[in-house]
Amino acid sequence: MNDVEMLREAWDRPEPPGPAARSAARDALMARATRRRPRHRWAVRALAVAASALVIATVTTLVQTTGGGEPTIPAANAQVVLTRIATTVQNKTLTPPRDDQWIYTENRAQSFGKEYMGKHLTPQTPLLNTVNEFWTRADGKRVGYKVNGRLQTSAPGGQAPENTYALPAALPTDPDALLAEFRKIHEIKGADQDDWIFERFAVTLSQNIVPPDLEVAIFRYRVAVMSVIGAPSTSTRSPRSPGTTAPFRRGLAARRRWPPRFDRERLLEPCGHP
Amino acid sequence: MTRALPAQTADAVIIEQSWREPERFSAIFDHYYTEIHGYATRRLGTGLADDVAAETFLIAFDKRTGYDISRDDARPWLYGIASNVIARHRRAEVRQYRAPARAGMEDPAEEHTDRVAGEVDAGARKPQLARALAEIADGDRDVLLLVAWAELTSEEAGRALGIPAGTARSRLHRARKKIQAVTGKDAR
Repeated sequence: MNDVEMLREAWDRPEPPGPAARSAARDALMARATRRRPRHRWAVRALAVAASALVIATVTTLVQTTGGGEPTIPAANAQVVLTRIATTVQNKTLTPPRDDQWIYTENRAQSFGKEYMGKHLTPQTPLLNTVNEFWTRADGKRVGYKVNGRLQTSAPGGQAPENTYALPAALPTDPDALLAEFRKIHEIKGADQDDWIFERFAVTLSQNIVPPDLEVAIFRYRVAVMSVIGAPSTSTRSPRSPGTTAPFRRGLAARRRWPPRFDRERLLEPCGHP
Repeated sequence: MTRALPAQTADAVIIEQSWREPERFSAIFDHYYTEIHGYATRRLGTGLADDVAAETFLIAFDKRTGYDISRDDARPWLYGIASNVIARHRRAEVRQYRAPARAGMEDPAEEHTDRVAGEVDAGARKPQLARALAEIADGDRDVLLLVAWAELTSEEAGRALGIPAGTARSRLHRARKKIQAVTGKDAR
């Protein structure tokens, strides 16, 4: 044991902070975070929900238009659209990747450059395009990414990466069981995990090759959440009780543009992997 | 710039989002509050740690638009802020180290055991280590404890404190020499 390790070991691991102290600190932070917000936050959130519904509706309309066959009908609301998506996904076929195949993921994002940090931003402020590339083995045992332009692979260690096939393939497809499993896998310390869990659902859909049954389960759950929020429903599915879906209400209302748009995915043969 | 896709969203992404959506910063709090609180507890004790940890995150929130988003990991940045807050309580910190040091001096049996055995576990060395920590220059101690307790590299510690990596290394070397003087171990 060297001197640094000895220093580390000599002091007991500190007790976790008390819940009162944590809560007070978090409240102070959130008070500061919200004090500059517009007064009518409910209106902003309502617009966010409306925008989400519009985006979803647009995507579905495009799918329906380009898919041919059925006539295009404007979506009545997000709940209806989500139900349609779930039904469509149910009929989707997927050839699961082999364990030794690699999944290539490319994220494209736009953001303000560092030179604009702390400056007044306007709609004319130029956006910086960034492209991130990742490779994961389908079994989740290796990940690859570029360092200084060169592809390097390593063992992820611990939990399988989210953008691999192994993790979603092992998830339950019953919506309630799925939620429980997500809470277990993505547990974070803190009073409020709802935003975080909701985001993980979004990441699962946007960055993964997802078995159709799982995709259906996620969309079904979203339909249930919508029905609790109070969107006018034409769904034949009974709304879930507020008790099971309430945690997602805020996350849904605050749904934003993250995660970055998923562009494309490719499966790579072993001989082509890094 | 490329980034590994982590099991959870990179800190830099969350902080960048918080520029426009301040509430997103709560994710940084949720990830790191316990860790920062633990570091402050070791350096100052529980009472002051509550205040230091809370203030660290308020300052971090105010400074979030200056965060270098090419750095995925926010830990060095947060530890740097925490170190600056802790620096306001230097006297309390030194008192904290001197308390176990005094306790150790009052225990001749332990001193004797140390001499006889020649090798004791880290816990038994605490009084001597605490005494040495109290004697180390403030800047050197900051680097040493960021490496030992926050488990940052010397380069990260330098970045956290806003000093060049070479300076951080020399401070770490000086501080370790003082610790080795009481442990009898060479730096590795």
